[in-house]
Amino acid sequence: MKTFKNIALTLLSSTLFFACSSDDDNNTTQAKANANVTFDARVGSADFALDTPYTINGTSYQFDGLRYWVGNVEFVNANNETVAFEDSYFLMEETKAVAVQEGDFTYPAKKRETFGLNNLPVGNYTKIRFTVGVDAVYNDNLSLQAGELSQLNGMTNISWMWHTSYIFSSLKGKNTASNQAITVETGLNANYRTVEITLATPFEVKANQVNTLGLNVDVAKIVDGIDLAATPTVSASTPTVMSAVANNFRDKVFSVKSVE
Amino acid sequence: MKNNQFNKIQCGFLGLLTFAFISCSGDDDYQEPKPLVEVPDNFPSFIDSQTNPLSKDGIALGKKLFYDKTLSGNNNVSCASCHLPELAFSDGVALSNVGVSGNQLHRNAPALINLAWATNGLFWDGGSTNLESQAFAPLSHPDEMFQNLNQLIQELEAKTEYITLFQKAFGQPVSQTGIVKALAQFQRTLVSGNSKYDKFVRNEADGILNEAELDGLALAEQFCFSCHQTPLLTDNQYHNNGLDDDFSNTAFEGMLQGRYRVTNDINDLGKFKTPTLRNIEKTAPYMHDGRFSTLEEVIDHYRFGVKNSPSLASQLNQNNTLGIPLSQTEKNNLIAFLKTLTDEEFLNNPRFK
Repeated sequence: MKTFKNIALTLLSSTLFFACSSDDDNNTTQAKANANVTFDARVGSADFALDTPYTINGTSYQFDGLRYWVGNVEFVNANNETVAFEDSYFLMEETKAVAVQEGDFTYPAKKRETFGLNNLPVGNYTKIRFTVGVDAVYNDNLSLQAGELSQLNGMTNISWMWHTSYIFSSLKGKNTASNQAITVETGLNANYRTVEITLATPFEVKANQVNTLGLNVDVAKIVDGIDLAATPTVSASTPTVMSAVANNFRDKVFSVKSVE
Repeated sequence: MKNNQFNKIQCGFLGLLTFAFISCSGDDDYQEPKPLVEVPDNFPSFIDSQTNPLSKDGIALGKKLFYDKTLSGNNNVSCASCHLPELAFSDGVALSNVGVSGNQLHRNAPALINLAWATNGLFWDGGSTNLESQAFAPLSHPDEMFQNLNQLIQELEAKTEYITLFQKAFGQPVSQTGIVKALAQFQRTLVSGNSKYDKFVRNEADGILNEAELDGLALAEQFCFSCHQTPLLTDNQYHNNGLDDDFSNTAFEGMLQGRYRVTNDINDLGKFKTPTLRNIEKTAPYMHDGRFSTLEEVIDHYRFGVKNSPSLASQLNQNNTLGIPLSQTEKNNLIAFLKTLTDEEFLNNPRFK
């Protein structure tokens, strides 16, 4: 993001300090456009909604919330050139109200499935990369903040603060039949994952139009291969299962829905 | 690419500014600025935070916040409620209950000494990565300060001097990150290195140890310094010192299992961070849960009380003998030495109060 904010200043400055600059800067004349990326939460082929029973691996579950950090978004074009939105962090979520600081205050119920990016150079993109979680630089130091990172949205709760880390992803709900609560969380640097999705139909970004890349987020795949009866709470104390959930986010959860 | 260019340009400006300053400043009225932190000669060089470097205004703000009860949900608890300067920023009780809930904590409030060098994790299990991140835990925990971090901004802004102090320290309005950065800066200045032992090490005039203290030092070199490494008198590592031999109780989110809680490595069961021996005379009670009231009890633990388990520190299980063999005289001499680690200048330093 920073890169793009600095363009105007850089342009101005490069005139004044031409002699100091050794980098070619021919990209600054390239046209830019705005783009939206939408994360459509689903369970298999059904739309994801809270308090709605879904059968996953033969068991019925319903959910109170799905939340996860998407960061460090990159687009790759056909020439293998990468446009990086460094330090961009977006909290994607569909959640009931969240008690923050053990109920000291409340984060309101929210549904958010889209983020916008400004100044994406026009062109045809064949890959999108993003991370699920927070890079170690920020994850290890809660006083550094980028994008939407904050202590105030319930993605760092008390037990996690005793162990410095954001919660990278959180899926909460219950087994509809048994009422067993389930909490599937990832966090800690070891579970930071980069997702790469190849766009069979290139994402054609044009000026003067709304460019939207739609991704599916299959909630069933988050817990693919996880025995929630045996491990209803996936947390730092179940490191192997947590790592498996993080791998699911990397490998299975996201797919292309639409390219507009 | 563009960032590089931008940085170069900033450098250009800086170079210019430096030049301008040099050309108009005379040498005659130059005074060496008082250092922000005084580091003893026998210490490693000061490790400043790259993302939160010390500044005079940051330290001053951190000190004010450290003693301000506004930082708690009921406005009755400050950092200093459990970290008293005259006790080397410990609190003198085994497990405090002065937090907002009144519930007893599960761990002893650690002394705050030489934290600039504590770069291998904070808390008894090392779960916190740096002082900035650490501060959020006591600030927000119901059994500690239970401060709504949103509300705290409004409460501090209502005291208008804080608006100015945050501007001076960080060039920004009151913020959660500014609060923890300022607290971290203040804590990094809490350097203790002027005990009688330090003066002895530096060959200073009043650094004279008597016979008992010298004998105690020799015993410490033999039995203690492998973990309580000089000059900080901690190795910043985690060890099982034989307090317990059963770590199956997972209560309180694994709080009783030591470093295992952080690493999930069974080799870390029962391991806790080596506390510094500096000012140990003032930081009773001892151990992560404050189970020992006196230095006598601590040393008797090492003499007679060490319990064996797979993660026990090897130094405490030599030749199939548990613990450290010390006679009564040796114990007394070791305690005499430990008391030479008291740093009255640190305990009474007006810069810290």
